Amino acid sequence: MQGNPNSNNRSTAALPSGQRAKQTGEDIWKSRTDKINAELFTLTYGSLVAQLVKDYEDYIEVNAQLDKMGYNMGCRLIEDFIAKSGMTKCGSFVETADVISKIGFKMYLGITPTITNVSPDGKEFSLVFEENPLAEFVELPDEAVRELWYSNVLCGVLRGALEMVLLQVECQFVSDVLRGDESTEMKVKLVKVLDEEVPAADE
Amino acid sequence: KHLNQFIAHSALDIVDEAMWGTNQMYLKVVDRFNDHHVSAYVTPSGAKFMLIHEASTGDVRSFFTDLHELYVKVMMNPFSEVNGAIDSHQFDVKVRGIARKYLSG
Repeated sequence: MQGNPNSNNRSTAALPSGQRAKQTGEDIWKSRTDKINAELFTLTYGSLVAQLVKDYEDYIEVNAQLDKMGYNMGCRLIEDFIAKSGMTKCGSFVETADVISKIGFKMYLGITPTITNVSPDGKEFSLVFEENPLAEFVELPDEAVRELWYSNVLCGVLRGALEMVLLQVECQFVSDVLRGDESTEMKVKLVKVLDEEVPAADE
Repeated sequence: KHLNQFIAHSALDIVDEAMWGTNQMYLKVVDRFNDHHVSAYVTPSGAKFMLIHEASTGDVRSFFTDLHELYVKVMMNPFSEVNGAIDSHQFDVKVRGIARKYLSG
């Protein structure tokens, strides 16, 4: 019962939560998720971004739209996430980060971004993406390099999903290999913990 | 040097004819102009790669095969125009790399 890393028994409090999260994430990814062809997925997201760029012609606006779309996705995704993973409340924001990376991202994108730059008060952390399935084969046009955050939808998804579990956060990318930076990094900052209230109308 | 463009374009007609005669993608040397040889490679989607070179150049077939792979990757970029010019700097660098690797000149 104690210290068995392969046990799926989540009521065992003896396992370090990091290891448990990783195992849960991998199990769900292996057995309980439907898979889709990676190229189809990349091409779909790519044409979505390319079309937004053509329609809005303003990269700041495209970033905002991607974030909005992500937000709507996140609000709905969180239900699926909780249903599939059976997660209960996290003890701290840092634990939330761990769950996001090892279970959330693992379940939906098959990747586990690394958690870095945890602030001393535990209210901020960064996710560093070694690989990004959204951005395979993508090369940004010159005008976009300075202003477009290609994977900005992910920021919206996190923002929406966390808001549904009463954590108001700010997410933004600070670097992206598509822009020529060394790594792709997203900063997540906890703004406040929300009280239960009557949900506002959908935007 | 400016002649190269003419040579390539005039050989295009020959490529158009030759590509229907075979089910191979690599068409070898399709035309000769003085000491310039024109080799061609046609992809299933109809894109034509043409190389002007001297007779003694190295492994042209492998060059074209690798070039095809690079071309596919460029096409996968959502921001690329399907029939437009490829002005990606990365693509340019990589093509020069495989040219160095396979072609002696």
